[in-house]
Amino acid sequence: MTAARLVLIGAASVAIVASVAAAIVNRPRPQTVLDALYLAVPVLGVVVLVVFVAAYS
Amino acid sequence: MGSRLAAYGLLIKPRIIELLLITTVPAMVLAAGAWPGTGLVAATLFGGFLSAGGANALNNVIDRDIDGHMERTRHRPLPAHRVRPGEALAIGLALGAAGFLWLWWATNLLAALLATAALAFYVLVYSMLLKRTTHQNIVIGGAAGAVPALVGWAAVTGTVGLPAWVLFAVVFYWTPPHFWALALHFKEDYGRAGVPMLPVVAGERTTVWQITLYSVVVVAVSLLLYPIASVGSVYLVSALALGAVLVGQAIALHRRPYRAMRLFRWSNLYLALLFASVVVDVLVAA
Repeated sequence: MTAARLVLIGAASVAIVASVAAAIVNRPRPQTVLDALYLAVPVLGVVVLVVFVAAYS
Repeated sequence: MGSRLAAYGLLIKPRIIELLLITTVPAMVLAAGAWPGTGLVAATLFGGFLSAGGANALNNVIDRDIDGHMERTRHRPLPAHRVRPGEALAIGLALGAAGFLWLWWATNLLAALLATAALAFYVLVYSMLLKRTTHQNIVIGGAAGAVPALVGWAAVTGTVGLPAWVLFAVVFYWTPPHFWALALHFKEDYGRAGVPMLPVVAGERTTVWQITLYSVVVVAVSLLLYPIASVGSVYLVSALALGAVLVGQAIALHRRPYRAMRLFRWSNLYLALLFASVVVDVLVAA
């Protein structure tokens, strides 16, 4: 496995886990659909970025 | 006349040039694979300065009521009655328009559109929609401050490549821990003004956890540049070392939350050094 591949897999895994954890432990709990959407934006951002980086690396 | 001009200067928050320098120039160098030319760099920075200055002036108009309630901001030109709201509005709109036209003329239409979209997002989405309604305000609103990386890349190539989006993401995920550290220090100020920053609505402990988790995300996202861009070991080692200090500072905050400003200042240095390492890596290899 190349260094680039190793960095990609490691960084992508950590980024996804940490962003999901940030959304889960966030307080106060989402009250509305809009609040939940706001919490989801950073997680979706990481996932989309990781998908594109994986596809083009 | 002199004091009026000084007030106009404060209105556009001239320190924004620092963030522009930090994020725009490395994106340009990475896009070009070498120094992109001093003329193009200066032209892009000037256009970015106009757009960001316009955004800040308009933000001052929108926030003039809450700025007056906060110790940190009550000396700004509008709450201090040194500039009238109508004047600030005119200056903001004029600078925004000038930024668009300058970037279009001196670089290209995409760079101009991106800079203007950032201005609109900052004013309409962050300042008017999110800032007073959700504790996620700075998370979503941080996108506006991340756009200069896209502008820099677009100014060189006329497109927006994937490495530019990674740089955008680094600034986007860096913004919450950076501003939450500031908000921890000025928690009472924000509470008095009724701004629902995370420390105000969720408390110190939750905020410090959020800062820690977002710091981990920033470091991980910064490493994603390595597999897809022409950066090498200088960048990789820098990203790992600087990131370790950032996360370490965030973890230390759990025991000493009163040291939030230390993290705030370090986060500034972190971003500057990380982006500088992109420049060094590219120029050394060129």
